[in-house]
Amino acid sequence: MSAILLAVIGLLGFLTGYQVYSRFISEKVFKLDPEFRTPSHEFEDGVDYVPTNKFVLWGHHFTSVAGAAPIVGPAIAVVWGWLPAFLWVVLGTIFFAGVHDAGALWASSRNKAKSIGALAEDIIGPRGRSVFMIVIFLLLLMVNAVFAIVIANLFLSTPSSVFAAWAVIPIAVTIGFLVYRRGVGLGIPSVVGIVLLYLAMWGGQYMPVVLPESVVGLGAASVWVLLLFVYAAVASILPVWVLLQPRDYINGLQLFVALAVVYAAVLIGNPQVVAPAWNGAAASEWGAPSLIPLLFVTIACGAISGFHGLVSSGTTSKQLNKETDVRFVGFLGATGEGTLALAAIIAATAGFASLADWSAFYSAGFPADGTTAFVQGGAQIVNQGLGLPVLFSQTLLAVMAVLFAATTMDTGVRLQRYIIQEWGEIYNIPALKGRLVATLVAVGSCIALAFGAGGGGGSGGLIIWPLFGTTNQLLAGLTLLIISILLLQRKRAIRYTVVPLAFILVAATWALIIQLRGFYESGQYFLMVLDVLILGATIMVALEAISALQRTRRGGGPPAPTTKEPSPAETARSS
Amino acid sequence: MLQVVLEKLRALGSLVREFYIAPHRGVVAREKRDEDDLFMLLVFSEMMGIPNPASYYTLEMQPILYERFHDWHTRMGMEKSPLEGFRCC
Amino acid sequence: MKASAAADHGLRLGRQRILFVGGKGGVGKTTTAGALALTLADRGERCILVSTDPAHSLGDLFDRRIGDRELAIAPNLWGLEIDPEGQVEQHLDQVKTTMRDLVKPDLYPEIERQMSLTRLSPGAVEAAMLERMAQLMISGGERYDRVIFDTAPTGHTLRLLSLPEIMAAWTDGLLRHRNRSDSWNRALKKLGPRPGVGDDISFLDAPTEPGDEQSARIREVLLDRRRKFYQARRLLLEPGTSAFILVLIPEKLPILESRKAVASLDEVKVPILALVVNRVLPSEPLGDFLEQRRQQEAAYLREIESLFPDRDRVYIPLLPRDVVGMENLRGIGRWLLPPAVTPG
Repeated sequence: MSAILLAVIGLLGFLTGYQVYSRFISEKVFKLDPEFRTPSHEFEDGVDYVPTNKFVLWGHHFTSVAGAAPIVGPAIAVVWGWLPAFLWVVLGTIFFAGVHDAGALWASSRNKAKSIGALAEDIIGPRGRSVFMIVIFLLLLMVNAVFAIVIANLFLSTPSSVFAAWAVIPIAVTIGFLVYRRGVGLGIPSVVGIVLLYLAMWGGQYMPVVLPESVVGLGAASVWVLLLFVYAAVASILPVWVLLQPRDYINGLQLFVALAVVYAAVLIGNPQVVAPAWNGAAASEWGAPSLIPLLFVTIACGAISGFHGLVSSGTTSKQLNKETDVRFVGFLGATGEGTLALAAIIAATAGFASLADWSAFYSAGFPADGTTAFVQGGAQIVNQGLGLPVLFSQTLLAVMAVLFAATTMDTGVRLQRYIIQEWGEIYNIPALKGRLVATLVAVGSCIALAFGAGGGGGSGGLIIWPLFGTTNQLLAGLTLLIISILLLQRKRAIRYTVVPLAFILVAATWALIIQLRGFYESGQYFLMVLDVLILGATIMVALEAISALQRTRRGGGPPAPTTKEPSPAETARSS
Repeated sequence: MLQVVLEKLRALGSLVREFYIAPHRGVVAREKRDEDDLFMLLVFSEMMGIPNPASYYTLEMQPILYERFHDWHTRMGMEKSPLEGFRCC
Repeated sequence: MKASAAADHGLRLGRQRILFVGGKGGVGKTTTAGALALTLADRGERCILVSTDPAHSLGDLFDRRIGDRELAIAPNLWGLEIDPEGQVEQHLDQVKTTMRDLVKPDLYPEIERQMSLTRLSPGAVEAAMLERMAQLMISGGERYDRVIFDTAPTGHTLRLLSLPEIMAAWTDGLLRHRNRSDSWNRALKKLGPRPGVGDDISFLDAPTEPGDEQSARIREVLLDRRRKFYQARRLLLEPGTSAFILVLIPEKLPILESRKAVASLDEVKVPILALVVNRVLPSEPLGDFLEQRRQQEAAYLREIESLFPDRDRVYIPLLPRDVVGMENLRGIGRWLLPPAVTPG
C-alpha cells in the first residue's frame, strides 16, 4: 500500500468534509450570520478583542491547538493496524472535531466570547461549572504528567535532540528581551533565532546528551521527568513574554516546516506502508486491549479534543471578525490537527523498513512509545524522500515534538496554578493563594502522577495515555452539551452534536471499565483510583447532559445568569 | 498577469507577516494594559478603601485618567463604577 | 548663673535661609520665632515669619490680624499664617476645573461629591501644608533672606519633615510604572499598526494614539511633583541651608519630648542648630517659694545638660510680664542673638 494513496485519500476526505458537511452544519444548523456583530467588534480593545483576518486567525488557532498529542495518540493506535486509526482520524475530524471546534467558536461568539467554563455555569448551571472544574483539573494533571513522560522518552530515544530542545530556551528568552524590552523589531531577532535553532539541531548530532543509567537510584527517564518539571515550574511563573510567547513563535514555524517536510517527503519518496491494515488479532497477543472502545480514547487530539474548545472559546472567539468565519477557522482548525494526526499515522506505519521491524517495535507492549515511532519512522521517510540525513531528520522531528510538549507543560502548570490559587481564594486557604506554593502543589501532584503511573517514569509511563484521552473527550463532551442546549433553545436540530456526545460518553465509560479491570488484574491500584475518579466525572457529565437537555426541551431556560468573572484558567491556549 | 501574481504574493506576504506579529502585539498590549491598570489602582486606591499616603496628590491625576476609568472597571468585571463618589455610568 | 553665661554668644547662626522653630505646645515657640525674626529684620535681613500651627498665634504676638498672605509687619519683616484648609479648597478647585473640561456636564454633581470625599481624607490637610511649605522653601529664598517657620507641636512637625521623603518614594514608584508602561508602548509601536480586516476601515478614523498624550500628561504631573519633593528634601537636609531650633522649658514633660524630637530629627538627618531653654528663673533673690522652685529647676537644667551635651544651648530667663509687642520681643532677641555677635 502506497503512503501517497493514504495521504491523498485522507486529505481528499478532509476536503470533502469541509466542502459538504461543514457547509451544511454552518448554514442549516448554526445558521451563521455574516451580519452578526461579533464580540471582537462589540468589545474591541486592541488587547483581547481584536477583529482578525480569517487566514491569520486560522493560523493562530491551528498553532494553538496543535501539539504533541495528535502525534502520540495516532502513533500508539496504529497497533491495531493503520485502517482503524486512519478511519477514526478522518471521520472523527469531520464529524466530531470539526463540529465541536466550530460549535464552541459559535457558542462563545454568541455569548460575549465567554469561555466554556463560564458558559457551563450560564447555560448548564452552577453544577455544570463544578463538573467543568473537576474535569479540567484532572485533564491538566494528566496532560502535564503525560507530556513530561513523552519528552523524557524522546530524550532517551533521540539524544541528539536534547541540545536543541534546551538551547531554544536562551534563544527564546533573548528574542523576547530584544523584542519586548529593547523595542527591537521582530525581523532580525527572529531570523537569527531560527538560524540558531537549526544550528543547534545540526550541532546536536555531534553532541548527543545521554544521562547515566542511574542517578542517585533514579533511572534516566525519571531524572528527565524531574528536570522537566523543574523547568515547567520556573517557566510557568515567568511572565508570558519572557519565554512562552517567543517560544510559541518558534513552535508555529517549526510546525509548518515539519508538516511540509513530511508531506513533501511522502509525495516524493512514496514510501510503502509496511504495517497491516488490520492487526487486531496480533495486537491482543501483544497485550493491547480491545480496539473497540480503546481506539476512540487513544486518539483524542486528532479526532476530537476538549482542549480545542478551550482555545476556541477563550481566545479565538474574541478575535472572530465575522460569524461566517467560524466555518473556516473552526472546521479547518480541526482539519489542520487531523492532517498532523494523519502524518503521524503515515510515519508510524510507512517509516519502518519491514513488517518485521514494525512488529518488533509495537509488540513490546501497549501503549507503545508512539512519539519515538513517529520520529524514527518520519525520519526514515524524510531521508528517502528528501535525502536529508536520517539523524538530522530525527533531530528535527524530535525537537518539534519536544517543543510542543514543553509549551503545553508550561501552559498546563500555569493553568493548574491559577485553579489552585482560585481554590485558595474560595476556601480561604492562605497558603494556596501564593504563586510559589500553588506552583509547587501543581508540579508536585503532576510528578506524583508521572511516577505513580509509570513505575518511576520509565517507558511504561504512557500507560495513562488512554486515561488522558478519555478526560480530554469528557471536556469535549461538556462543550458539545453546551452547544446542544444552545441549539435546542433556538429550536434547531441537535442530532449533529448529541450523537457525537453520546458516542463519546459511551466509549469513555466502556473504556474506563475495561481499563479498570486491567489495572485491578495487574495490581496498579494508583491507576485504579485515577480511573474511578474519571469514571465518576464521566457519570456526572452524562447525568448533567440528560437533565440539562430535558430541562431545555421542556422549555425551562438556563438558570439565572450570574455576572461572575471568568477564571483565568479558562483562557487556555494550547493542547 | 504578472501584475496579478505579484499582487497576490504581496497579499500573502502581509498575511504571513500579520500571522507572526499579531500575537506579539497582543502580548505587549496586555502587559501595557496590566501596567496601566495597576497605575489606575494606585491612583484610585484611596476610594477603594486602600490607604494611600498621597491621595491629595493622586487627585490631580484623576482627571487625566478619567477617560480610562469606565473601560477599566468594566474590564475588572464591575459593570457599574465601584466608587461611591465616582460614578461614570 | 549659666543662663546669662550662655547668652553671651547666643545662637550660632550662619547663613541658613530656612529656619524651623519647634517644640511642645506652650513652651514659647511663637515668641522665640518672633523674637528671632524681628531681631534679624532689625539687622537688615529680609525675613518672613511663617506660622504653620493650625491654631495661629502670630497675630496675637504682633497684636494685629495676619492672614494667609504675606503681610508686612515691620521694616524687613513679613508675616504669614498658612491656612491649610483653604489650601485644600484651592487645590480641589483647580482639579475640579480640569475635570470639568473632560466630563459631561451631568456628571458635575458626581465630581463635587468625589471632591468632598477627598476634602475629608485625613492626609489632605497635612499634604496641603507640606505643599505650601515646600513652595515657600523653594521660592521664598528668592524674595527673602530668611524664611522662619513657627511650626506646630513637635510630632506634627516631624511628620511634616519626613513627608518629602515618603512622597518622593511614592512619586518614584508611580513613575516607574509609567516608565514600564511607556516602554511597552514603544515595543508596541515597533511592531507596527494593526491592519484593517476585510472591508473594515474603521481603523482609518481611529484617533491617533490617545494614550500617548495622556501618558505624557501623567508623566508631566508626576515629574513636577517629584521635582518639588526632591528640592524640598534637599533644602531640608543641607546644613548650610536649613536649621532646626528646638524650644523647651526646664520641666519634666518638655524635656522628655525634646529628647524624642532630637532623636527623630537626627534620624531624618535634619540639622539641629540649637536648643533654646526658655523661662529660666532669673538669678536675683526670689523669696522662699520660688527658691524651692529654683532648686527643682536646677535639677532639670542639669538633666538637660547631660541629655544634650553636644548641642548648643541658649537660655532665656523668665520675664516678669507677658511678651507682647515689638520692644519685648527685641528684649528676647538680645538673648538669642546678643548685639556683640553678628551672624555669619
